Amino acid sequence: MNSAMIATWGELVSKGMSNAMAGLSQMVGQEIEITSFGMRRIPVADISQLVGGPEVMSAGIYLTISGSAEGHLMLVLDPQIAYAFVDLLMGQPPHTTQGLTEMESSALGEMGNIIGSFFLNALADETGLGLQPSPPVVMTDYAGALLDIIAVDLLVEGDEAFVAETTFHAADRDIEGMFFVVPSEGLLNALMASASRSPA
Amino acid sequence: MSGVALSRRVQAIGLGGFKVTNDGGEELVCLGIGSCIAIGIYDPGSRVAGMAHLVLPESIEGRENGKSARFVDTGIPLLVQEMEALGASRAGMVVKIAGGAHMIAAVQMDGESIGDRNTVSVRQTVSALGLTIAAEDVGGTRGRTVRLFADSGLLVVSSAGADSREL
Repeated sequence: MNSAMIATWGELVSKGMSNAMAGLSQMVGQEIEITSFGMRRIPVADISQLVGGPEVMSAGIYLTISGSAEGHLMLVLDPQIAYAFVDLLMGQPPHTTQGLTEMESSALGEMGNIIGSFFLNALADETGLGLQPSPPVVMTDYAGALLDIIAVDLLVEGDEAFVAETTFHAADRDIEGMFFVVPSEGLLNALMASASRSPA
Repeated sequence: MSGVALSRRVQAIGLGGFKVTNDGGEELVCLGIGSCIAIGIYDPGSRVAGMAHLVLPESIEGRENGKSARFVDTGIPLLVQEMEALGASRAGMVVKIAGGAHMIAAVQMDGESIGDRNTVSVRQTVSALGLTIAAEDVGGTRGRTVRLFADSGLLVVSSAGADSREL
């Protein structure tokens, strides 16, 4: 990717994440604001370093994308942040959730649905591509093991990944954290091709 | 692990990486692997140990990038060759593997997961080199951390929320 393409991708993800956070705010009935947004180009072999290393326990929300382009997205969260979101989603006092049983995973899955569909809708609006998210899969495991799902796909195509980091803040209870969007090469290429065709 | 050297030098091996050593004070480790496979080989005669963090089952034309163990079918021969260069004898090599998990249960339903394909490719590649797999801990849906102790060839596998297994 050249620098113009990186800028385009960054702009798309930024719009996608703004829309996703707007959707999430609607879902939980309170403002969740984006506090920073950044793009990183890093070796695929190092992506787990972004969450503190391959052996750090993480919650992953994974969904595949179908339609005009195929690909997948993964949100990786510190488990404590994931628990805080569950409390928010289920209208519980902070620190109620201490683990992910079926009900909590399902709540996170709902969050994945909202984020995935709002994110992809924004990308579709920008590029004209029809992109549909699959139902999300929620997992808790070593970050490295979760990210293998994505890394396998990335390494088929190249040695580097373009990772978008979004930090957010929920006002009433001070949830701060980070989402990583790790696109597959196929999705990235389709988006780039469509973005360059659309009349800016 | 009481009674062993206190100052083991831990050598972490990242995605597609490998390491060979004849220093018994080293511990080679693949941290947090999912569908990847950690292969640990030890030759007791020469006390040479080697480990690779294999990512994909088959090499892809044009994607070989120097000395890398990212592909099973080229990574294992490379590891064996590097061990032989350090004085290991192929006839003495004890091979152990761990990993190849299906991280997404749903993927199991529509065909072979990448973890399964990795495991199949490892079996074929090891066998084609005239070696046999002495012990394995593969499949399942949990990530693993895999440690190879260079002084004994002991392979220790741990998963989150589970007791570690010794192979």
